[in-house]
Amino acid sequence: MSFSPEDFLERFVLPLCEGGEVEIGAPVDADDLETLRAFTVTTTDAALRIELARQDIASRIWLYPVNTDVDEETLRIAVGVHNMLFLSHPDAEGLWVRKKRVAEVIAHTRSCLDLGPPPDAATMVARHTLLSGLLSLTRTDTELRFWVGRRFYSGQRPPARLLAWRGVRRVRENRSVVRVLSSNMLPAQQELSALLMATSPLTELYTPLRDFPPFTSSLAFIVLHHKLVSRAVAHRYLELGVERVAPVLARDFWRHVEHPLDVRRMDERTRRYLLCGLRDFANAPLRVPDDTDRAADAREAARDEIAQLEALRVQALPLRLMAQLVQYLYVTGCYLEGAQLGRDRGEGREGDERSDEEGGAAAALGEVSEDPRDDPRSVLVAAADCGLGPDERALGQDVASRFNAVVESGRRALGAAASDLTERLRGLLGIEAGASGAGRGDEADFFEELEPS
Amino acid sequence: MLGAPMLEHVSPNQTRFVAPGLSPDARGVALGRFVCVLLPSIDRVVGLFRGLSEGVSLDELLPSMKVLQVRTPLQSREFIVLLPVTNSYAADQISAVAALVGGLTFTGSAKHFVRYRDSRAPLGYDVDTLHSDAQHGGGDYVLYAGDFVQAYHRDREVAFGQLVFNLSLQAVRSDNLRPGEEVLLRVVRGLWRFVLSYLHRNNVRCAAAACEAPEHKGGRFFLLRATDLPRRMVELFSETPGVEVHRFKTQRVAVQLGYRHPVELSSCASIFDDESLYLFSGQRDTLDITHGKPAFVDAAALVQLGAAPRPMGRDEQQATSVEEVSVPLRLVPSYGATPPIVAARLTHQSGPYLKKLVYVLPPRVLGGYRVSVTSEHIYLLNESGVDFIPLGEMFHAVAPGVMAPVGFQLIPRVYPDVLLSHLGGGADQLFFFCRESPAPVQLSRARFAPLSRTALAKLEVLQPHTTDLSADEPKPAELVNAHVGSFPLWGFSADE
Repeated sequence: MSFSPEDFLERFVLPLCEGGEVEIGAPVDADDLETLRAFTVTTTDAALRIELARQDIASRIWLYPVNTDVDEETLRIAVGVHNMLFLSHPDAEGLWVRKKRVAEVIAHTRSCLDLGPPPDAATMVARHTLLSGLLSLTRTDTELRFWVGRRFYSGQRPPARLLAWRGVRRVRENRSVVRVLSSNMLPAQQELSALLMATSPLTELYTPLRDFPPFTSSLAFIVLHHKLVSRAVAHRYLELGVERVAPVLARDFWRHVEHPLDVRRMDERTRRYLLCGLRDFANAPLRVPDDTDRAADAREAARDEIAQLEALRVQALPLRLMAQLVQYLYVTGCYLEGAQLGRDRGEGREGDERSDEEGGAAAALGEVSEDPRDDPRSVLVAAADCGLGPDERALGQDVASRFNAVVESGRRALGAAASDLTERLRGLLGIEAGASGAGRGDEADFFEELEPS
Repeated sequence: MLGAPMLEHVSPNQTRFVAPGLSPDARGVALGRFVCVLLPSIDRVVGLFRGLSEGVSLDELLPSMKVLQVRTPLQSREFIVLLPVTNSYAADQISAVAALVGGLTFTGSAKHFVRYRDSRAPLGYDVDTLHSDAQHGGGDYVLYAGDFVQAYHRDREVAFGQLVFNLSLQAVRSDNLRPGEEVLLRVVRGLWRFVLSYLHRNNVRCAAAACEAPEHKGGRFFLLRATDLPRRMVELFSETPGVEVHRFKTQRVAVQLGYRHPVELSSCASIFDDESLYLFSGQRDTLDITHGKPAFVDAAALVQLGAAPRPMGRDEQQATSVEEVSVPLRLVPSYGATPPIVAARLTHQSGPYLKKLVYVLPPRVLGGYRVSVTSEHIYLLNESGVDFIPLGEMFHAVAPGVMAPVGFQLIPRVYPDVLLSHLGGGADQLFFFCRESPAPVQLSRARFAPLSRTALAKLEVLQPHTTDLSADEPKPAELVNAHVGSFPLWGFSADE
């Protein structure tokens, strides 16, 4: 069957952005990609509709112009997503499909998705518009039982001949809707989906409550250097609800503290990713070495990269940004939901023996689990002890007192767990015990807008 | 109570809400089509309308307003008042009045109403989840407050008009008439001729009309319309059994002097029928509604003064001499100070300009204007001056009801009474002397309609289709595996 670029755009890319039935066909190889490039040189109806659908998605999160043309990057991501989804196609497990060929498909898909970090915020949003529908993509699986056996159809409709004479053949049809991106995916698909999230860090950060791929934001947090992106992400988290998002961020924070980034153990691609990210988003004066064939030069370049990243204390950057984001969410919560955070005296729950301030803070946090890793107050306490907290003058007395009440309640409730996190954070940030000011680096400061000019 | 508090504060720039029918207004305040005020008893409902009518025109709210008696699942009864609002300024005003009468204010569009904004949540509230009907036994209205969520079943609707008509008047300490104010005297059958004669004898301009009332309310009674009633007469009539002094609140509504209605009646004029006269009596605690407009007849035609006149003898010679000395009325230019301008005459070509001016005039000024349209001209009348509409030919009053163009006067200069009797018109007639014709134009005051809300209500209101500009929710995407055959990777080439 010959590849039709028009069908690919209309039946796969357009529904992926706009919604509807996303049709997965045979994998798109290099020749097909070339055909696609030639086809999209001129604007077609399908390309125009894809662009409109992506603009619609972009307008929900971004106020600035975004290029949503069907360009080279769009095609590569679309082909990568298509081929990744093909791996779980029933026909990909056929008798005549050789593993070697499947490995070629995986390698080709990986090369399509290996685009590196987005060079600017608009590109970041543009990539997200293409992938935002992927996380909620579902599939209808059908199990068909009849008098002499049963069949299972994944994302396909059973043939009409098997559905005929339902009464005589005792046909029973069980349909179940499953999410495509789940932990039941093949290992290769899981690896490719992680690569997709790295390619689109905004998608990674924008969906903290997803089940799969797991939220591991440490690398994606680098992009929060960009103020407009960080604001969009913070607004998204406020929209989702502080009490739902903050535990996820806290868990990720703990994970990152316990397993910090080690630039020496990173593979070259991750290092390059960090270097590019830091250069583009933080305007750090970093030199990204060019590709070279000579082994000696390559080793020299790698040492150079590692030295630069260590000098910048790369493992500390995501921690600072994550801690500040959690604090920002709570400070904003104190502004917007002050009535609940600073609950009036005498309005506590019946039988609640805690003090009013503690009761109010706990009410804002919702039901907190036993594990201190799920309690965002541990992040607030550690950040406050390390001097990353907001300035009281910037917050105003009322909000600052409410915020401090939340921090103090966390300090009392978590005790040793909070102090343990503080010590670990101090070690990673290079702050001596007793000192409380880590100083502010070049990274974006979430509280900058709050401070008086 | 259905469950624990579930309200969430609306954040700045929030555009989506869980509660259906909420949307941000220009200030970002979460607002539905209605403001719902929850009140425990009917007297609070009256208090709410009393407070609202002081500052808001209830006429604008009445078409969509509802007063509902509701009951909770425990069968306790409360009242819900649904008031249409278009912005949060109006809702703030309602909320402030509701707080004064102990009511709770909510907002929403159909069934679910969340708490309206307060000092804790300047942009209002939203809910995290909606309470399903099946889970909580249904309900026509669900109210979400900070400390309770309550479903209500609709019991019955209380008509606002009946509510207003059934309220008793309240006595006020001092209620004096303004100079020149027109009053109505409601007189029982046996007294009206004496009262009318007394007024006429004391040179008070008045007219009388007979009205029918149901037998259980006393049968026929008489209305005397008097202008500029002296204070001593007001006190006399107020203490006379069978006579009540009423003052006009609107053209169709009068309230007994010394009393006030709990609701400001001028703000809800649309509940009163155009063809009836409403008399609210505080002394008898009764509302008299006449069938049709009372036909007033001038007192001069009803009262005979002194002894019966002798039969008039025929004296042709004397009659001839009287005819010879009679002089016609003439309009001549006048000089000196210009008297107040009270009327204007416009040609139909000026109609579009008049319409434009109507749009820019403030409501208080507009309320004073009355308009009558004839086949040739448009006549404007405003006793306090038509200066705000500088269109057409201006007229001033040379006598009550007799108009002459500005800069002209009528000669011979006779007394106004003589002029009126010569013209042969009553108090409800107007005469316009125009320069182009020696004969005056006679118009009835009843032909003049108010140029205010009542007149505008007859206009056709266009309701164009509006386009919802809010972004659509993205459709869900579903993966479908197409049939690709047994050799899907045949000819696959990974090399670029």
